[in-house]
Amino acid sequence: MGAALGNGNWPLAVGRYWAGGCLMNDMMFTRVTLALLLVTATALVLVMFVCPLIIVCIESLRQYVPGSIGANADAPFTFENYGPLLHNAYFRYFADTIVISLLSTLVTIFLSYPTAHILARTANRALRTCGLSVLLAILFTSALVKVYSIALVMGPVGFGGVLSSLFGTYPTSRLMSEISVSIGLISFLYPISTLTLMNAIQNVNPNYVTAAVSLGSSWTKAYIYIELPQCRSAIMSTCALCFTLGVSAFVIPLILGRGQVSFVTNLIYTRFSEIANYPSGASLATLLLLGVALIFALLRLANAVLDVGKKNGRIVHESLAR
Amino acid sequence: MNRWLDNILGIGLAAILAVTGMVLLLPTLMTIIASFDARRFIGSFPPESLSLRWYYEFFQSSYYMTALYYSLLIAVLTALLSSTIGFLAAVGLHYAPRRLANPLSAIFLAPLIVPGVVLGFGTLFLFAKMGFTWTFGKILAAHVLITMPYTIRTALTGIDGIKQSMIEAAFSLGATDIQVIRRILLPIAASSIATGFLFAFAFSMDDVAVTIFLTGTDVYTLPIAMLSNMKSDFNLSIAAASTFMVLIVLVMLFVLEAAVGIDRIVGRGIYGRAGS
Repeated sequence: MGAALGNGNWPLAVGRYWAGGCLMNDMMFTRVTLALLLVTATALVLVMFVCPLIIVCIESLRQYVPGSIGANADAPFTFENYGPLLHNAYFRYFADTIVISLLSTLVTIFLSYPTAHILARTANRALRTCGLSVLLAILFTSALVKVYSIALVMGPVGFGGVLSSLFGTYPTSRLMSEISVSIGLISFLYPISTLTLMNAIQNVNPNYVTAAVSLGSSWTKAYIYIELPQCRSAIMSTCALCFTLGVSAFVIPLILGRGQVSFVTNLIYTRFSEIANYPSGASLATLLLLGVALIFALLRLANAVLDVGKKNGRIVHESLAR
Repeated sequence: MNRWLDNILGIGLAAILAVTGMVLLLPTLMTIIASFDARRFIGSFPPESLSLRWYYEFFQSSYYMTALYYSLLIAVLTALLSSTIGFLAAVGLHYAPRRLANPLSAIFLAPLIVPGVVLGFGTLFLFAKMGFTWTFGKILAAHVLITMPYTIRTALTGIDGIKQSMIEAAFSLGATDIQVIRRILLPIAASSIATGFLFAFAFSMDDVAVTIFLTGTDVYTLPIAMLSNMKSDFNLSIAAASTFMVLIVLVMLFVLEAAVGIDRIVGRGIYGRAGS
């Protein structure tokens, strides 16, 4: 009898049967275990993530009291922290953040798609491992190291002079700062974008492209008309991810912007470090948060629309097949 | 016509790869070379004579060494805590009913896309309201939070590969929940957990946006120290510090390749030929 049941734990198994409440739960973790497994992470996220974001939103609506971190509990609610942000002086920060992040995102996607394609499709194991190692090395390299290196290269002892004359300006011009920030963002986003796109390309059936080529298409056309459309949704979500990370970048514009280019993130930090206007910082942070939420809402919407389109296409396709 | 188009594409791709490689790798290589410069100032490139003076300066500086000590300590503790909590949460998410797991995993992964500065600013408020003044604990808690999405995701990919029948066999033979987790899930997911550990370590070593709101005068991390030196005195000791950080990354990659295999981390996808 004991041998048939394997070990002395069978009373527990019986206990589980009753604790589980029904037969279906027999071969599963009990609810208590699942709850215990999830409780630490949930508590951490609630305290360290949800609470701070809620506090930021509430603080942004409190009246500014100089000299204290956080308003008094009875401070009146007001929208006046948002008012000054509509002023023209702030427009430049928002414009810089959005335009530079967007351009860097597009360049990153353009540069990383070929690499992602090669790494996804190559049969050469050594090439793949080598490429992935370089990608991971770039991913793991601290943003500080990248920023310092780029500052060095774009500085007076590097290629700053040559590059600036190429663009028809001088090394300390605003344009050069913009270019530096973009290069910083690209080297930050490139490994992330490549790895994400690679995953997507790996899951596209390579036989479709081969089939098209064997039917007389060129490889170029086959990639553009067959592989690329199948990665459309992945490319869109990579764009959204890169743009969000670009907008969130902090050190890159702080150092490479040389004070000529500042992102909203830098502005928020200044509110904390230099002028100690916490409610104003909180309202900027809230705007940034809403912006990020908006990007992902738009992505969801776009994906939903595309999905509907796909379904319609499939219906048309099936009706034609009949 | 077709061949002509393909040749253009091939040349274009080669050009794109070359430019990308140059833009991404050249600056760091230049920094590594510059860190061996013997001159007292940042002179023209390449250096005329080599020395280890900037490394000497880096390792002599009590400011940098304090930062390095706290950075390594916080990164190791963060990686340990984050990969433990992440693994447990991943098990919970994988086996919990969908209607619970879906919203929970969305909120667990959300810190990935929230700007670090917003999070740091909010955390600052939170700790001020709580009256929590232990700087080391503040930074550690924040780092565990921002690295948890990575550890949960990597652990989930490890658990996804485990056959349900194995779990059922264990339960039917009378294993307890804890035994199933320790004897089956943990060993099979071990390499994924190790990957998560290294990701957490790397991102904890790197974070500035959140940490900068939480540091004090006595507890600060290496990136913060480098940043403040970059703003005050742009010299080559930062290049030495950078080279040291690149060295840490290379050691991590070596460990990753030896322990897990870099190819496996990324996965080959559903059409991947594992044998080729």
